[in-house]
Amino acid sequence: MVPLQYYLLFSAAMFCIGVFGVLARRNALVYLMSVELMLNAANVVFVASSAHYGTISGQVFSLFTMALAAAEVAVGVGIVLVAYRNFKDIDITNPTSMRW
Amino acid sequence: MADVTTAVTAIPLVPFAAFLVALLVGHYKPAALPKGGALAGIAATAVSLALSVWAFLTVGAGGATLSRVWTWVPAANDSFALTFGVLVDPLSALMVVIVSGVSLLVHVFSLGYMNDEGEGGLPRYYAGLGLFTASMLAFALASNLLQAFVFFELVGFCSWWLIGHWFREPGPASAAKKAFLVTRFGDYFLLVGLVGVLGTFGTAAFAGDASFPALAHAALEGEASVNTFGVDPATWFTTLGLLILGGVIGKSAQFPLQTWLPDAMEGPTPVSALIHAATMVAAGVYLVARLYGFYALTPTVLTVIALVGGFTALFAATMALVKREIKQVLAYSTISQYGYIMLGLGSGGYVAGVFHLLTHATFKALLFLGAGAVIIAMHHDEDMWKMGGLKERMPTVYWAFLSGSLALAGIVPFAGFWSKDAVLHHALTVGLGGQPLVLLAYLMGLVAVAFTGFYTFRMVFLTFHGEPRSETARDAGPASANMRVPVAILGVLAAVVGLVNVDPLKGVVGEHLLFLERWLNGPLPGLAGPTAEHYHELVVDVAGFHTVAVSPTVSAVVSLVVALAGVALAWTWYNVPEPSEKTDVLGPTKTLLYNNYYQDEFQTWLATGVVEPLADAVDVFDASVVDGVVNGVSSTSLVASDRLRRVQTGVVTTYTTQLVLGLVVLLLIVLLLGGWF
Amino acid sequence: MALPALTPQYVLGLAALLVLVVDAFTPTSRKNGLLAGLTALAGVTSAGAAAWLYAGGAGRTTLFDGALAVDASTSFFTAVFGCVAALVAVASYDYVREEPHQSAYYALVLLATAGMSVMAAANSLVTAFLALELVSLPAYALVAYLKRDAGSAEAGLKYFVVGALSSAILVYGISLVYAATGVFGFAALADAVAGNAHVTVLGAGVVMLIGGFAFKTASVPFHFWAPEAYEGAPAPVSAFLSSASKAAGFVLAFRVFLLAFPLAAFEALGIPWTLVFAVLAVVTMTLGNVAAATQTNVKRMLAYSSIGHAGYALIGLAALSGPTSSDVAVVGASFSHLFVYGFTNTGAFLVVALAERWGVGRTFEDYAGLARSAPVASAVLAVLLFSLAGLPVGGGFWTKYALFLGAVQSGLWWLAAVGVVNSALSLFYYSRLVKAVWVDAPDETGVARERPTGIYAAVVVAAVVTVALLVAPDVVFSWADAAARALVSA
Repeated sequence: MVPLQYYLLFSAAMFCIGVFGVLARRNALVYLMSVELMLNAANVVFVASSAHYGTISGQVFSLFTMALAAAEVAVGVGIVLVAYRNFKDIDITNPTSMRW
Repeated sequence: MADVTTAVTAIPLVPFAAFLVALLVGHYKPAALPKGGALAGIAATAVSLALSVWAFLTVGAGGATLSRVWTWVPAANDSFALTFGVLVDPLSALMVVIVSGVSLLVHVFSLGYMNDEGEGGLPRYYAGLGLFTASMLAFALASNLLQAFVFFELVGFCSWWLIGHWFREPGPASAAKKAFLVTRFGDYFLLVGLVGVLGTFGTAAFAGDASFPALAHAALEGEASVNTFGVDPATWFTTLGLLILGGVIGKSAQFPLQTWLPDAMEGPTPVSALIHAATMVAAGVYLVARLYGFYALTPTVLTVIALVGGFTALFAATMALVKREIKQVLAYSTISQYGYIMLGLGSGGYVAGVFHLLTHATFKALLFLGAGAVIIAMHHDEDMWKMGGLKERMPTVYWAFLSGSLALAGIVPFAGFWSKDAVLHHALTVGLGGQPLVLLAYLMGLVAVAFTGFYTFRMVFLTFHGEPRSETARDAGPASANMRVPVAILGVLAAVVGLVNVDPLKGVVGEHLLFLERWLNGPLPGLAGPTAEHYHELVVDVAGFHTVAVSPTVSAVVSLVVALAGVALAWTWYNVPEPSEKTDVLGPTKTLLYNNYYQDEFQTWLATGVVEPLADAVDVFDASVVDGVVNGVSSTSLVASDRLRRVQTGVVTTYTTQLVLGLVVLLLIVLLLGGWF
Repeated sequence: MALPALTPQYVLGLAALLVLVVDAFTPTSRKNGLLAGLTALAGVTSAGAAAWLYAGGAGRTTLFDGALAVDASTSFFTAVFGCVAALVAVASYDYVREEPHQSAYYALVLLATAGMSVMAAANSLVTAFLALELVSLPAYALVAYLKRDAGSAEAGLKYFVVGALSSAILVYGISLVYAATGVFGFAALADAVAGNAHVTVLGAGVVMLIGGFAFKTASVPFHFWAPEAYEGAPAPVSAFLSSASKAAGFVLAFRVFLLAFPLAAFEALGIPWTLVFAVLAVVTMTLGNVAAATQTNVKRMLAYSSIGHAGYALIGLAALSGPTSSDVAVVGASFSHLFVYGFTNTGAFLVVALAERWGVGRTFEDYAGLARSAPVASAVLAVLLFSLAGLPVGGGFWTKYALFLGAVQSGLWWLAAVGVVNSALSLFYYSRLVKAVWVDAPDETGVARERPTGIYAAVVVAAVVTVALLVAPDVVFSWADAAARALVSA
């Protein structure tokens, strides 16, 4: 059996890639995908720990996370559409009318 | 009699409702307000009087109660709670009867004085009376010093309101301000004292086991420890007592803060009767009586109270000797009489002081109302030298006024005789018992008795006897019924109220006829902690005020003779058809007295000559150092603000970057703490 | 009558569904009044049910296998959420009258409120997370509700971008805590963290959880969304988010850190998290107040001041020191601060809603002389702002006092000092607005303003409650104390 530490390192790598995407990408849809990556990094930890501790709760949580991710994308795409209608673009750095 | 507590809570609330009615209906629909709000006020004070009498009788049946009505600020973090409550004991029951009774009579009298004369602003006037009555009753029923302070301030505010009733004239407006500011000056000391009491004892309750007088006693006995901020408890309690006394001196117009009271006579005369004679001015000395369990522990403060009282009694009486206006004479006599009450309380005579408070409220309200009737008859001319011969023209007022004057002068068997001699006798026994300062205060009080007899009857003779000295006095008609009835009621009371405590006859009639003493000192099964029955032991054991036996009859005869001497002099000089001023015998003192010892001038000099330069110096410090620091902080903040808000660039990716950086910093902090590196 | 322990939550959830059903049956008719009334009724009913449950005094009820636990803190905060939701619904009656999709608006408000009240009952990281998302997702949509308004769209986008990142961090934090302990329930976590061998993983997880809560409470460094979201959102939504949503974040943080991560256990592990909260409190209140000082836009000023208030409330977590009585006092102070703040801040934002409806403009200059044409609203605004500053005109005076006192008694006098300086600074910018409204001369005189009943009623109620809490704070404070006791000595 693979030790838990390896899963943690793997998920940390996934999480950091997701964070990089969040920080570096300006396209709203790519941003959403990066967030997905971060959520899935958590899912890896949940499932791996669940197997490690022999409890089912972590796997259940990962299902919740997926459902949440879907809901978040639904709301997110809706907001991106609204933004597109107002700014004719889905670059998230574009709207800067409110600042300071 | 559990429900009497609820009823007692209503005592101040009913006049408060009358205040709201007069204020709101008077503002929005003045036509709907009968008699400008007087009827609502009369009804409310009548209800309060009935409830007060009920409370009085309940207490008489041994039902003193203390109830917490409302927690204002709950106790948290080992601190103390601030509460409002109702304390019904013999003292407060007596006081609410006095206050609501006088207030009722003054409301009725005002019908004649204000309504019949067609004065303006009646809703405002009656709203003021209502609020004053409510505040004064709530003050009397207060269960702790904080609540007392709140209503102490409110009665001061009402005093300002009512003195300035005719605010378009310069005199009343300025007198109102003066009254407010001078009493406020005293109240600052009270406020500091209140904070000190709360900080020291964690409670400001008057009565009960956990009240601050009880705690102070226990602390002096070494049975409890309180936070005295590192000072010896006796010294610290004396300091607190003196601070609280500051408020008392301001409110009860004692030396040196008495200058506002004569000016306050600019207000309508019923107001002078209610506020500046019978009740509000009594609030100060009432506070001393209320805190007696505390003051009895501090001999220094007691001596100060006695000295201030004795001196004020004499000092104010001298100024009353030469006054031309009838209300001025009464004003100075009020100051002087409150001096006697202070003298009584300060020399350990709790019962004597409260007794004089009771009788004085009766006869001084009477004298003011009588003077009000005279002033109406004289068309607001108050100069006694233009009066004369009013005896035939307004007989009811004359006889009642005479009764009040005899009481004021202390002539047997009128009210003032019994109470004043109780005070003087008490001061004498304590003074001879090894307290030379109290003895000095007694001597001043005794001399003032002669002056009192003189100025009182000078006033009576000039006003009512002899020939009329002006057209107005010749044409004066009798007072209206609205004025005659209250005056007559008080006239009878002034004659008989002294019989509730025939102190000078103590040896003759036996203890059971000293109704007031038994009433005040009776055991109170409903209340724990030091109550009035313990005050005497406290004064003797803790304060060390020992007495020597002096026959009360002897002392009474001495002061009666002195008073009669004063009356006799007034008789020979002024009870003649054509009296003359006779003030020339005083020589240069006359000018001094006319100008009230130049106290106003002195205080003005104090304000402009001493305080103002000091204030200027402080202002320089404030403007340079304090403002410098404050402005420094504020301009730093504003510059920082302008920089800091630029962090919010408006570009969302910079937010996410900063967010992640912040998270990393937090992670590093925690992992460093957790020993990861 | 014994109500089910989750009655308030049921009421809110069912009301949300009912709003949607009503709309499904009559999609075309105008029913703004009905929907607003329904929402307000649901809010008031849930608050009343919460008060009833508290008065019933059932102690702690655990439900669904320990996933939820209802105690005094649940009822206390549910009352706050219900009241704020009702105020917001009443004000929205006038605000969204001309907008399409009203049923969605009210349903989202109700769903978010239901989510908040579940947050206040969470007893496991699973329910905590789900409830938090149940608040977040409707909130994104509400902020972007005015979809033809560029400001609203921009605010929604920024809120969502920061929110998605924050919730991903929160989930990852939960996963790390799970990796270190293997459990989700608060009680089980409290046992599992004591002497835990995986300090690094656990510590990283806890910090990420703090991040997730900091997002909800708009605390530094997760606050960046707040100024924009509050400024761009419809004003009732700003009111709702800055009061109720913030309070929800706090109650969850208090529950997690008092029930699941006991301070004693973490001090033994070498991670005294009170220190983290103390740092966050200082930075948050300073940043919020300093940045608010030179704002020119009224709504944005309120947004920053709302960040500052999160800093004050954080004192409740920073000043925990161990003894039950002092912990109860300081947590109770924080709770009552959030209660008072719920009404006061909602009222202040709703006055802005009123001004938006009048088309007054957004800056301080635009508000000049408002008192001439709208004296009642201006008086209410002055009372609310001064209460926010902590002057003794409203309940905010007591709660700020209690918070600073609690900090001093825990030995954190420097925290209290920073708080006092910040309060003084806040008085500066609040007075600027009061001065503009009452002292400055208006551009045009004799303007007649309409009196939208709903918003007027809401702001007056908010002001009355604020003042009432100055005069008779005991009712609420004793409840807050019981709520704090339920968590501290659970």
